[in-house]
Amino acid sequence: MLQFINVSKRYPAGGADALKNVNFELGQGEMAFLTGHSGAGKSTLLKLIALLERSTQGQVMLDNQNIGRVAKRHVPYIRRKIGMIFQDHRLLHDRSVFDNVALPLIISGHRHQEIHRRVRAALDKVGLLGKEQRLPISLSGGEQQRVGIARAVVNKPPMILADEPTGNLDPELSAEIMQLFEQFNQVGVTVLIASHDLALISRMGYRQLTLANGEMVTSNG
Amino acid sequence: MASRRQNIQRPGQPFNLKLYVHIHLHSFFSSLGRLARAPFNFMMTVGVIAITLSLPAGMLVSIENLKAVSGQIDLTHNLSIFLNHTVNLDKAKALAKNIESNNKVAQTILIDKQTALEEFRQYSGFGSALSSLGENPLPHVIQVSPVISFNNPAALKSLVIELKQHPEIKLVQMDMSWLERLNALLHIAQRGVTLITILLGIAVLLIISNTIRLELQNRRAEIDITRLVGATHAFIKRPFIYSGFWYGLLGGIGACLLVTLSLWLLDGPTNALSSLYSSSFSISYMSFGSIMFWLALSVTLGIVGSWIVVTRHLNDLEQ
Repeated sequence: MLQFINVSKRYPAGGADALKNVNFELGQGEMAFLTGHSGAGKSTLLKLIALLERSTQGQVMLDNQNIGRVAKRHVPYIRRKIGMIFQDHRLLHDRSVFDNVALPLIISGHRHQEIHRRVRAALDKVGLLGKEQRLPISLSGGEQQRVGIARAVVNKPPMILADEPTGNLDPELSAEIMQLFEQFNQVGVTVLIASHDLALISRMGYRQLTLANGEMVTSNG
Repeated sequence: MASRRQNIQRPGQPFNLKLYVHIHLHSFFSSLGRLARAPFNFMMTVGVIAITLSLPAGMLVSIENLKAVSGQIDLTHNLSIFLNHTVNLDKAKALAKNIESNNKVAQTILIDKQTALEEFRQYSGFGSALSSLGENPLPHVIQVSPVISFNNPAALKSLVIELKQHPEIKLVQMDMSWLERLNALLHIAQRGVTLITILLGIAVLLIISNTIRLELQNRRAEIDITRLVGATHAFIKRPFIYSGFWYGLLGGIGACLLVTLSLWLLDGPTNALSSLYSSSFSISYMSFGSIMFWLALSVTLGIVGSWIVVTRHLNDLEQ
């Protein structure tokens, strides 16, 4: 599903390598955690997959396609294969929960009935059915994060990337969110979660990819 | 067209017209809805565009009206031929016949000096003064009406040159040079308005570009998020380009309304003035064609202005 081959990333301004010669592979339907201290390169690695950045060297393969070489106009279609979840949720605060979750479907041009059906299904999945018309600001942090998750899965992407999805949540809510990811993984979605919540990760017992100063130090679970 | 289709649908898939229309309608109405949510800002920009465009549009209508005035004066160009004093009446009659045989001339009327003197005595009030002159000071005059196809300044000039060949003719008068001057002035004014239209058109382009740029900044987070969930550039651009369309359309309508209102305010005084000159002239308003021209121009400026800014912005964002 996902493969990094000798990937390095150097930001033009920074000078130092954010990622150095990273190699790993993530199988179809696999779930893994990406750990490491702040600044180890976790976010950079996720950005390379979502094509928010391009690698300086090496190949990032998604579905056997070298996405580092993809033309600009094909980038959106790559992103539609990936559900992205962020620590700060990245919700549109002037739109209802429904509109936020519907966004990926509107972008890919689904019909109204289809959008309604899928949004309700996604919100049901994350336990927010009945709050469609609320504004994100009126929801708690955990609920906002679940709106973000609903938006990431509403398009049924084969892969979910989450960048510190539990960063601002208390342990109980964090565990609930992680359970959601497990449920998606159980239906065949490939899941990669960047997190530094080592206690929670080790309790869950999935494969861990550890980055230190831009280098992959462990890549097996 | 092919590349635009690809922007909506995944490349390689067959084109779906219904989907295309659906997506466009969505952007069309959502852009209008967003503008309506900030009506004050929206109307301010529309007002600036309307006033900017109303200047050249108003000037152009004024010139059209002045042309109509000069056109009314421009009736038939008759020539008056003043003969030498030495020419006697028979010779004058012969000459008038001769001139009439010219294929450029429709008709000649000979006003012999005796008749002219009588008329002058009757109408000028200089009767007694004329009597004291021993001799009739007036020459014979031939009035020449050219054929209709020669009734224009350039053709008349060639006729004048031809007539001046006759040794009997002292002077050929063509009392229309002021009209030519007015037309030349109007021509310059029209050029000037074209230049002003270009400059103010660029101003409208910049106004719309800047407005859209501010909108882009305000909605930066939204653009980032839609990009993250896989929106194509075309999808992100579309509502902004529709915003530009709305600014252009409403600005253009506003400009036409301003010009029409101004002309309406001038209508009464103009009618009063033209009745003093016993002229039937009255102001003509913007024609349907010119309204369409200004609307098309402002809509085009709106679309082009927003397209330039949004395309630049997105190209800067994407790697």
